[in-house]
Amino acid sequence: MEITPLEMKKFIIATLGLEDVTPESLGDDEPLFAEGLGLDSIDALELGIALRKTYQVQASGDDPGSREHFRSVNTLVAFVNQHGAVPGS
Amino acid sequence: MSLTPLAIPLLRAAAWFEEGPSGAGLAAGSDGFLDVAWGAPDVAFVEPLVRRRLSRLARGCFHCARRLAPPAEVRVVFASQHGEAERTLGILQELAAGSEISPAHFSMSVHNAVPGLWSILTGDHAGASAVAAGPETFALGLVEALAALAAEPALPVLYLYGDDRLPELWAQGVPQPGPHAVALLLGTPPERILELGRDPEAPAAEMKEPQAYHALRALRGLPGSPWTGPGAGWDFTLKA
Repeated sequence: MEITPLEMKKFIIATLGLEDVTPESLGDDEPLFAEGLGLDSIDALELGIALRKTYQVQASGDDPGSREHFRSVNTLVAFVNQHGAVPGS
Repeated sequence: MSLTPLAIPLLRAAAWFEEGPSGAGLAAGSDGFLDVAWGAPDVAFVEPLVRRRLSRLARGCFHCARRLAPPAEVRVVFASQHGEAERTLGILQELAAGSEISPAHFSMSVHNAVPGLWSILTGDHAGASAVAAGPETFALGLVEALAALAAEPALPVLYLYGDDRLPELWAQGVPQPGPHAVALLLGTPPERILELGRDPEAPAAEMKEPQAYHALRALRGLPGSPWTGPGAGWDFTLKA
């Protein structure tokens, strides 16, 4: 199983309680943090734990690659599909 | 013997109750000094990225704070007897179940979460403090607010107070007045002066109502009555 960008968007919105964001309004390559969508460091931690629980991917704050994996919906999709396990639907 | 009352200089006041008519027995609406509302708190002014993190307690406090139209820079004092009890209990239950706790819940469970979020929302970097003092929380928080104003008289003080309903597990035997919040803007020259008197020798009594309800009736100009609780008696009197 592979995760799609649409599924990743729904996952991010549900995990972080983004009540004003829809999958349609979130771009595949839009930066998630700071001047992009505006998520902060608490969101990064929350997302990291949720990704670990759901997709068994390990994203460590010590790993310089984590910043790149968390950059956008597309980079997270690639990260999960390469290193994680997507539960079958 | 009663102690010499403290004079609290007030510019504006607001109160919110989840259930109406308000627990304090006040009519909704503003008399030009005290604004009273119940029902859903109005937090539409809060940007969505901040709003998603607001608990019911924070929403009540923010609703009241907004009604005061505080200046851009204020010193903030927050007081709550129970704070974010529901979030704290959720974290404890996650720990007990051996699961990872939510960083977002943890960061918003601390007692100074409400003034912290207010500071993020308004970009105000002036100091803030958070008080919890059992049944006397409202009055002792107000003393803290007065002390902050005395330390820096030119900087108005935004006093935020509130309590949510306790989770059922912790609610046994604890008075449950229903979610409520109050905001007071302290500064000079005052529109009104609230006199705060404490009688440490008042006979101990079971708390029937939160102190804030007594203070709010005084602020509305209604006949007051002393509040008595386990620790002391308090008087709230409005001066012209």
